[in-house]
Parts: sequence; structure tokens; C-alpha cells
Amino acid sequence: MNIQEYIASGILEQYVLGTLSSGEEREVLANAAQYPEIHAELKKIEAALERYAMLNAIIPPEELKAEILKKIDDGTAPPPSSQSDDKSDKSGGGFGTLLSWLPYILLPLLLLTAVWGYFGHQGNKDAQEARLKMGQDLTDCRTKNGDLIDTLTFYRAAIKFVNDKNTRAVAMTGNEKLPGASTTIHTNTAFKVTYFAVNELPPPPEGKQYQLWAIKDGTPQSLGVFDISPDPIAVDYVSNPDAYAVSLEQRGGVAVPTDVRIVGAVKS
Amino acid sequence: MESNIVALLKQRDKEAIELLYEHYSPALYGMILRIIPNEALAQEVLQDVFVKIWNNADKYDADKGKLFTWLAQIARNAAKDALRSSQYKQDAKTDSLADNVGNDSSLSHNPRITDSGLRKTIDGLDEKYREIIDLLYFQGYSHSEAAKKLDIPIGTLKSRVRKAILELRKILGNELIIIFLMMTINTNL
Repeated sequence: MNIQEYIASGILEQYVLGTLSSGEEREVLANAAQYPEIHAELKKIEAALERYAMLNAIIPPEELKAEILKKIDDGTAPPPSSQSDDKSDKSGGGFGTLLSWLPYILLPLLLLTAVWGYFGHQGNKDAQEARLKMGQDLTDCRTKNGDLIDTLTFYRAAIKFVNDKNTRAVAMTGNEKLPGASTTIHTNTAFKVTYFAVNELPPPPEGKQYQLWAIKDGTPQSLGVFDISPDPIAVDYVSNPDAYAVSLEQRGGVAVPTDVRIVGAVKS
Repeated sequence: MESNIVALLKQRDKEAIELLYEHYSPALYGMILRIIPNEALAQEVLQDVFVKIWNNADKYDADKGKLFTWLAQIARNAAKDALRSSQYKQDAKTDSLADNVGNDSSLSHNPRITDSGLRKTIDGLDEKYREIIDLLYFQGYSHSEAAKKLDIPIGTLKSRVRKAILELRKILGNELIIIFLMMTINTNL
């Protein structure tokens, strides 16, 4: 089987989207079990879609969690959307009786409402404003909390990635033209993913840009130009390169490096 | 975390549901709301989804895919079922829920992306790709339904699906290899 062709066919995306027949699903699973490349590709598709769903997340109301736990505790699961039906006729013949009692119920209620309205209006207005503000504060807190969770998840993932048994770090140091400069490549051989982090790097001169390279069998392969950022940058995975390098080039990059400034050899 | 939750779920430990809720309820709720813009109904469906997860825990097989892929499938199916039955009930009414489906402007909710940088990157996903991912992944359209809705041949749709997800992967790529493949992939390669 041509694995690249199989991956390019789009069948793995369809598998994750759940649009395949069960026979086709079995075939994908069998292939994924046999070929690590297919397995890895499948995981990447799943991870991307999961992350996309996380980014489109909407926090449900707080009280829902307790209701769900209660339903599970009760061991009963009433079907959804059963609420609006069949409510009207339960009291059946009692309706006329209720009507005759209505004035006796309504009159004291009306009186109470008038008194409450008179004395309670101002206090109620204040309370309502306070409640509105609290609601707004709660929404802000939830948003901030969501952002913090995202940030925390990011750093936990960074630590996990760096410490993963299949991740190798390549320390890259500046040559005599750029002493003190330092960047790092982290590359995971199992998942075939690489990212590049800038530790110490002066800003490039006007009109210039740094460009990252992987060098394999003496041939440089461009991994793209980059701007200095505190965040790691995902770059193309190259299997078994001899070294990585950063050169200083005209903005937009070049085909072959002209001015190498940072080098890191890959230890085998 | 994912493997912990799965282990608890298989042991019928209710803590699994609490953990699942903490980690996945916003993503699932976001998906459900794409199919059912009515919040009250969407919340009922979300409850229903968790009960289904609990009742079908033994059916989850980690070899077949990540936990979230399974959860998302349950959420999509439950939302589609609920939509169908609400349409059935509202048969006589003119403005059924379905009229709102696929119409993003009808959603009063904002997804949680407050990081403007990331929001911009996601917005950078070509509209034709975003539309495809939204229809198939968030709204659970079949290929033929999506092809019909977008008025393109099914072959074009299929090849566009891969391109769309590749594009998404590229955009998310800078997010530390998609949060290191959502942190939880078994490294049994």
C-alpha cells in the first residue's frame, strides 16, 4: 500500500469526522494499527479538531453540572425536551374551582404588591443593579478563568512535549558574528513534529530577517523565515538532519543561506 | 488526564463525570449550540449527552480514537436527534429551530476565544474551509448533505475536507504542536 497516497486520500479526516461506513472504519483502524505513519496522522487530525472545538467552547451555566450529577445518581435519564408537553391538562376539572377562589387569592396579593411597591421600589432597584453588576463580574471572571486555563494547558503541554521520551533538544549557539545568541530546536521523532524556540537573539537590522535551516547530507533545507517571538514556532519536521542553522538574510528569505549566524549540531 | 478519566469511567467511578464535565462540557456545549441555537434545549441535550456517556462508558475503545472524538460524536448525534424531534413537534409552526441552523448570526454566544491573536488566526482560516469544518464537524452534516448545502460535487467536497483540516492544522501549528497533540496521545508507536 502507498501510505502517502492513502493519507492524501482524505479517508483519515472522514474517519475522525465520523462520516465513514463501519466497514470503512474497520479498514482505517486496521491500517492505523499496521502503519505508524497512518496512526500518527490520525492522531494529529484528532488533536487539531479537538483543539478547534476547545477554541469554540462555550461555558454552560454553572447549575447544569449538579443537575447532571443528580441524574446520574438517580440512575434515571428522562428524554430531553419533555418539559413543554402535557402540562396543561393535569388539573382537569379543578379549573372552575380555582377560578372561584381567584379573587380571594388575588386581592391580598395585590395589596401586598402595592405596599411592597411603595416601600420596596428603591431598594429593589439598587438590588437589581447590584445583581446585574454581579452577573457581569461573573461573566468576566469566567472569561478570565478560561484564558488562564488555556495558558496553563499551553505550559503543561510545553513541559510534556519537552520531557517526552521521543523529544530531542538541539541547542544552537551564535558564532563569532553573533556571540551570545541562543536558540533551541525540539523535535519529536515519534510524532514527527518540530518546534523552534528563541532564547537570546538581537532584533535583525532593518530590511533583514532571520531564516531557519535544517542541514542534511550537506544540503540546507529552509524551514522558513521568522520574527522574534516569545512563543515557540512550529516548523516542518525533517528526519535525521545533521544540523540546524539560523542565517541572517534579506526580508522574505533566500533559497540558499548566505550569512549563517547560529548553528547547532544534532547528536546521534 | 485523558487516560485517568477513561480509567475512572470504566470503573464506573462518578468522579469521571465530574472530570469530564470540567474538561469537556464547554467544548461539547459549543458544538451542541451550533446545531441547536435554543439555549434551554441545548442544555437539556448536554445533560442527556453526559447521561449517555455514563451509560455507554463500556463502549468507548481507546484504540478507535481519542476520548474527545467519541464524546463529540455522541454530542453531535444527540443534538441532531433533539433537533429532529423538536422540528417534529413544531411542525405546524413556521419558524422552526432548523431555520436557525447554520446561520451563525443567530447565535448570541461568543466562543471563549478572547485572545485576539488566536481569534485572528482562527479567523484567518479561509471561509470555504471553515464552512466545511463547521458543517461536518460541528453540525454533523453527512458528506452528501454538506455537498448539497454548499452546492458542490461530492468529490470536490471530499478533497476540500482534507485541505480544510490541513489548513486548520497549519493555523493551529504554532500553538505548541496543537497543545502537544492535546497532551494525551498514547505513545505506543
